[in-house]
Amino acid sequence: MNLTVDIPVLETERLRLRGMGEADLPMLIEIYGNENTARYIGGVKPRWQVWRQLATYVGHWAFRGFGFFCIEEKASGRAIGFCGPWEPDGWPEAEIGYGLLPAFHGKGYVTEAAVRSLQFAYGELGWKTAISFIDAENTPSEAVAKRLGAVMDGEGLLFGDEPANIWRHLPPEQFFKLHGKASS
Amino acid sequence: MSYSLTPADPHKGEVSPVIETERLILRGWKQADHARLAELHGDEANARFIGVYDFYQSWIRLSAMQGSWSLRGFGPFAVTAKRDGVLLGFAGPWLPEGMWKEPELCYGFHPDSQGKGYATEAASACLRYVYETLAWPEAISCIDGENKASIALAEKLGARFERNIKMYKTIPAQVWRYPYPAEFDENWKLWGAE
Repeated sequence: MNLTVDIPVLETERLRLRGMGEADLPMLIEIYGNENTARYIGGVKPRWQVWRQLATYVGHWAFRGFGFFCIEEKASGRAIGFCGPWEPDGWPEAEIGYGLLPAFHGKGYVTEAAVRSLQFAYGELGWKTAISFIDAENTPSEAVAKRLGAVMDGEGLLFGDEPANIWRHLPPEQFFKLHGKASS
Repeated sequence: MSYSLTPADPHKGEVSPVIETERLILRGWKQADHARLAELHGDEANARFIGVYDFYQSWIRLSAMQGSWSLRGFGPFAVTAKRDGVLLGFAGPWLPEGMWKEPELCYGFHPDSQGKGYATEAASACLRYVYETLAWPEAISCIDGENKASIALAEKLGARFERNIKMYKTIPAQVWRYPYPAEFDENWKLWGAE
């Protein structure tokens, strides 16, 4: 009951995936405050709602034993986004979700973080399958899914009524063959 | 009022204390609490003043309440019946960043757990907790002007109407201010109360 969770720290070549804290709030406020970055992850939110979102991310770990990591750029030590396995009650299917500060787009960071998250989900968590929900208009995110080897697999409804494409990632064995078991 | 607090044991990974009152146990949240919390928030008449949520949204709320305990060291408690462990509602300190400047007590109860004085019992325990343990200098509740039951509860705890505000900059609400810590005696009764 009400246990804190030891959130693991995962490393990739350029990134560190770690648990989130209050200090990461400005990063989330920037992501959720910007129409361009927030529109595909539930929409623009005011500051108090972003704090609640942060609390939800932390609580997700407590109830599930997994959740979103904070993505930290190793070189700068900056918190630049979030990524990880995500499965609230009422969510259509367990997925790998992500969001990144606009200034860090175009560097392959999301792909790097998502590969590590999938290695974690398939390896440590024992997931047999994984998807990512992606808005049909979110071309950059689609490109990430394709790079990971995911294929379109129908449509789901998020937040009750928002359609999103289901991108199904490679199953564990094929995924490991393509991306390795873990980079650290 | 009977009140006993068992602090969280960080060595066991606990983030919230347990408070025992005459009929209630106030504790941190478990996944198993979601079914009752979803009923509480899914009932439109019951939840119209505190948020009508679907199954997904009520889980987000559940995990945010538990996340508040991890992040801040306080948050709303799961209020359960001592007799059978059933979840009755939530009550406790809630202070989301950028929302209100003042420390708030929030509460909400399942439709089948109202009219029995549980909310009063839980809220007075929470008021004592925020003053005695968290050392808050003050506490308020933001209440919809039409939420007569909640206003009656605040009044029972000695709260006074202070002012009208706009919650989230849009929703009109009333600020009810609880008696300050100095207004309680050593037994956590209001000075001069029966």
